[in-house]
Amino acid sequence: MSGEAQKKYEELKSKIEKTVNPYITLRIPIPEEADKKEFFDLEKDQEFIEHVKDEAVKWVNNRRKPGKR
Amino acid sequence: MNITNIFVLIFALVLILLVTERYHRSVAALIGALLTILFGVEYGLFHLPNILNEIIDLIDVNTILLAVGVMILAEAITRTGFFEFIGLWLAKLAGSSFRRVSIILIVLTVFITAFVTTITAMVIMGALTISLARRFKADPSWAIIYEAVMTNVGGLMFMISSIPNMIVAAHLNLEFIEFTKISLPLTLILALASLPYIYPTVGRTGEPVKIAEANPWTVIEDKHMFYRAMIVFVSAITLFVVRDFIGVPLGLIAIGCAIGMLALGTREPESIFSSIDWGTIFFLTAFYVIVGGLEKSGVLALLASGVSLISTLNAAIFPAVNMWICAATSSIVDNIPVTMILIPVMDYVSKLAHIPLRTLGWSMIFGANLGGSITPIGSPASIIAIGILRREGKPVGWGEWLKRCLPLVSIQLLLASFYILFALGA
Repeated sequence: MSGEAQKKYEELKSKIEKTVNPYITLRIPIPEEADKKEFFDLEKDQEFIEHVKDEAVKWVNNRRKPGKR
Repeated sequence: MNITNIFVLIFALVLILLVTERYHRSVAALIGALLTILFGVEYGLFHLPNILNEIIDLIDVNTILLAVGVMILAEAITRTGFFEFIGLWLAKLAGSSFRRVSIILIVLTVFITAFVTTITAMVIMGALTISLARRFKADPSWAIIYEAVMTNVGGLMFMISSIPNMIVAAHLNLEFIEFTKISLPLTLILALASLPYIYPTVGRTGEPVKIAEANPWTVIEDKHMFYRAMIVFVSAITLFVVRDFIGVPLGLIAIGCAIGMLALGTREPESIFSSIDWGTIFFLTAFYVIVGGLEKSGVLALLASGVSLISTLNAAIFPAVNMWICAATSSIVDNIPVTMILIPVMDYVSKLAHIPLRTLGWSMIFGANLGGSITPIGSPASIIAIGILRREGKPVGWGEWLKRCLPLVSIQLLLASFYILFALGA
């Protein structure tokens, strides 16, 4: 695939993904006590990602409760 | 060395440069054109005082303008997000089955390719298919490959759908409606006939998912521009259709509408200009000069006498045989030079073997378009499809491609053969 076609493909895919598979991207700086390799491996850790998804839902639901901001 | 031998060598050099990809194909063609002009002057094919006019006479300016105009129109309409919008809207209607979604996207590919290049169509459909496959947790490999095959079916639909169509139609003086009356039925037949082959193998994996909440309008970033671009685009298609009655050359209509699109349908004309496939335009222009030189030097007459020997074996089925030869050649070499070289050859064959030129022209159009799907390097869409699958971690090699596509393309070529023999009355 040529560079131009590749770039167009990635741009389109990103645009469509946000419609079909909406997602947010977070930037999490490495905590001081974390091992570098283990921390970077979290990006591919499906169990961790599912856990973060669950936590995101809990957080949003919590926020909705009256008395919470 | 006599003039015919010189030009055979020039032609052989150009073919070698094209096949080996030593240079970009447009550069290979420009080198060939330059040698044609230099030796043409040397051997009296061109005359210096009038050389520019003689060269311009060789170039089909109408086809060049048509190609440029259609590219601008297609690029502008693509940038509005129209095709992704249609794809998502149809996918929502398909419901919760990735198999149904895949079939819809594969059929949509045929219609999209009727208006944009196979590369653009494949990039759009590839991005749509991969994104939707992720949602369904399905394997998109079969869908992507069949979309690449169907881009070449879509390339048959209208005169403007592919460069070989434009070249042959210009040579045969075929008008837009005349072309469509023959090309559209075959395109629809091939698309429908391919589905029974495709259906059992596509979208077998994945989980049922509802994508009803996805809003297709989110891919349209600027609705005003979208509506304006659509108005210009639909006007352009309408003018192509009524061209017979208004008598304006198609190339002028295309450029005129392209200017309208640049003025009304986009905020980024500079970006549109840089996205135009100028390599193909230079290639086309240069190849007209090369073919002109081959004709003037007698090389094409020589080629034609060889070909007409084959055609006399059975003049009735030769158009179908010609289609298969074009298809086989287009599976390895770019279909534009194949078409450009064969057109003047077919002129001679038509006269020598008494076969209607239009029938030969159609056989070239069918073969040049459909043949690109036979191998993974036969068409730009196939190369893009392979690239997409490699990026997504699902590489497909030659063996896999041939196993999946060769039977399908053979069915398509067989149907096209019957079409030539019976519907076109060859």
